[in-house]
Amino acid sequence: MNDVTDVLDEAARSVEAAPPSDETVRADLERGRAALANRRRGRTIRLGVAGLTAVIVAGAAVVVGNLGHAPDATPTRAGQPTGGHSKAPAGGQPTAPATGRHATKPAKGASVRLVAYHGDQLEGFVVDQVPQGWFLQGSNTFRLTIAPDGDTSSPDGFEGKLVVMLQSSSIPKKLPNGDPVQVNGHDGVISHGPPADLLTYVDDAGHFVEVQAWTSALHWTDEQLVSFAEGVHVTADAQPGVG
Amino acid sequence: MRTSERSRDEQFRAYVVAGRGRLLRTATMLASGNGDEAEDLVQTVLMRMYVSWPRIRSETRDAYARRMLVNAFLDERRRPHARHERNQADLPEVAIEPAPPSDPNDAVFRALAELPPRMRAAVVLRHLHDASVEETARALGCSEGTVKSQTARGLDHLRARLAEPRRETGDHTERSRT
Repeated sequence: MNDVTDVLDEAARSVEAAPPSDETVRADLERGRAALANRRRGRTIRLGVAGLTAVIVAGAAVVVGNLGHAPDATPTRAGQPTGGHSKAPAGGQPTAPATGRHATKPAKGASVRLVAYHGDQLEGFVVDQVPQGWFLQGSNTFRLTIAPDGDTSSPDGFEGKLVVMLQSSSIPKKLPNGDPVQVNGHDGVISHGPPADLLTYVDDAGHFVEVQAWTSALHWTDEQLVSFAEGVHVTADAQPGVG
Repeated sequence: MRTSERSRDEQFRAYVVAGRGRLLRTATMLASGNGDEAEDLVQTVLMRMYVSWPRIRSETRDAYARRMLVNAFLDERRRPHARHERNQADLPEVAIEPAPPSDPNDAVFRALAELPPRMRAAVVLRHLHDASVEETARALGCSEGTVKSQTARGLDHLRARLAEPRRETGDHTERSRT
């Protein structure tokens, strides 16, 4: 037998390395442009949200300053949610409640917005929000699978779905490469697909949590992915997988 | 379209024409001959390169692309859909004895597939790209000592596996005689 490196060389040479067709080059260019536009859009939204927040804070400060300690300042309505499990999603989208294990379906093709979730929770992971028109398809101690309404496939199939799990115990406990983000004030990274975007972050309890969002099914921005993750709570039942 | 955008497009297009084939070859070796996975990896890398194009120096583009390719490959291996074991109610049907590979390169790809991802990446970078130990360590984010040991173990495994088909053939011959 030739030396193994010669055999490797031969196998590599067997792979077609001819110049790509015009169509392939055009497709690469289009994907690049789309990714760049997506990134710029995300940055614009971040700046817009930051600017809007600044305006609201400034406006509130002026109003409070004018009111002083006036006794007739509008009080918080009783029963109005003040945080916890009714968080507003990123991007200024309104939050509609989802009841039971299902939520109303959104328009096709667009980014699937997040809605507050008030249905039954499953083993391992508790969620505050779900994509509109999606349901908690199944869970065990290793993963929670969220799928579009009507999806009857196995919760063990992740294609076209949203999955929450803990990072495998077989790999070093560290964040992979990707775009850095903050999730509830903790470090996280998003590695972008296709076919799926993967957000890995550390939660309050030190778990390395992974959220995999199927790109073509959700069309989410990084902010939406982070917003969903900020409503994920790992329970004591959850365990990291192996492999 | 702005001039800088046009310039980016032209440079990117030229790079894809000249370098895509090489990238696909490396990706195919990393993916152990899986052409679909290799194509996905190359598309991912080129897409990220386009986004980062102004920050990538022209003289280091190939090295940058290889590094991104290895990162994309290792990230892909970490993804839940790539590593999750699926429960099945019934046992899958399997061949009693795998058919011997018709193409000798298939045997190489099968042997490569048995290497853990980082070990495979170390072997591919060191022996297909003649990357130095230092460059490989940088690309893999590990020490030079780890690169040396991973590469040596990877090559040992490949040598052993690629020697096996002959032994198997010999065994079958012996069995048929008795």
